[in-house]
Amino acid sequence: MDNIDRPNGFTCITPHAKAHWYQADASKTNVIGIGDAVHMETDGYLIMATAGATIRGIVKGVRTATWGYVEDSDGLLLNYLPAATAGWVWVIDDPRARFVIQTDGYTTGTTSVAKSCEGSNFDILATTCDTSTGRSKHEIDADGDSYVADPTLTRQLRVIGLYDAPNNAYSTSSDGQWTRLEVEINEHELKTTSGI
Amino acid sequence: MANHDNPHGFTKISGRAPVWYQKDATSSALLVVGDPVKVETDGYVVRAAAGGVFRGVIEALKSTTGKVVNQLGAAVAGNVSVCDDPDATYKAQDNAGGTCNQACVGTNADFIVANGDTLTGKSACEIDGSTYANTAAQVRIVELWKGIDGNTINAVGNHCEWVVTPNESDLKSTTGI
Repeated sequence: MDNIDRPNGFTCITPHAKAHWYQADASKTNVIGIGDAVHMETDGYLIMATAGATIRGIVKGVRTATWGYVEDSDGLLLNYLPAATAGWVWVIDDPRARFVIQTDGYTTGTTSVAKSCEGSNFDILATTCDTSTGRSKHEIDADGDSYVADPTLTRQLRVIGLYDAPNNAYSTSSDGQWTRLEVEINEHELKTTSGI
Repeated sequence: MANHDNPHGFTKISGRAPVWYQKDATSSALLVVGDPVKVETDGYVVRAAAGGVFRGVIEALKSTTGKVVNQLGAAVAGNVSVCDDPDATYKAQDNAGGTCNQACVGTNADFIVANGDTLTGKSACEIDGSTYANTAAQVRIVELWKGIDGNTINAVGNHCEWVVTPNESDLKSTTGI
């Protein structure tokens, strides 16, 4: 049975060090959803990570400083942090935590994801979250990167292995990608001795 | 009293839970518990060689049918449970290949590999005593293991048991495989 296309960002699958609350300001370009990768800017505030950026961690929760919850102008409770709303973001920032994340679709002419991708590095495809559910839509950019050509390139994620679950396998069919992989953050901001 | 010569590979002291990897039927070496392994470009693990990066240490082995085994032959595929925590600590023996003294604490060293015992499934890998240096090498010597080695209190010197931690774990580098 083909893999199902259901991007939902990063889901942590290992015990991890205590998650931390970080601040996000109201000048963000993008919303921040649960399961999104986030990046710390030089002003000390977090934004949604884009492809190629260093990653501080993965979002577990959001709240505002004033109320402890996030709401829109109509008073509707939200489970994501809008771009123009300042607030706090609860982040799994353990550099050794591992996550499950889906690969994006297969593009004809590129190399399909296979066993040989284990150990290689990939960047993320940073689609903004679903504002109905608040859930991330981040994926591994598998068709945008020719990992076979140069698997040693430094990229955001390191693939550890295939996620062990029903209906999840390496697939070469054009509509059968969307493989769920176990990954570790490779370009983690806390893995480098450089500051921000 | 001299330390007991009892190579056993790497015995985990601390570190996170292991992860299952796969071994294919084309590797060149037998795998047993306590052997260090690396991930090859095809995504399968093999026994790590002396020098160079490695992924971690074997904690358990299973056949492709799920049966727990004490070894996987070179031409035998199977599943390998690996502690791949780059910050894990292990107990490993010095092979008496060089000068082993208190000054080795804090240095780096490579391991020396050999086929494990096919009867007991015990690893024969050791710390290569000829490689203690402050330049990059596979493991960092953390401290002397404080315990009784056989019927001898472990002491710095030939065949002593060191506490080591991975230095050249491939997960400590941002370069992929």
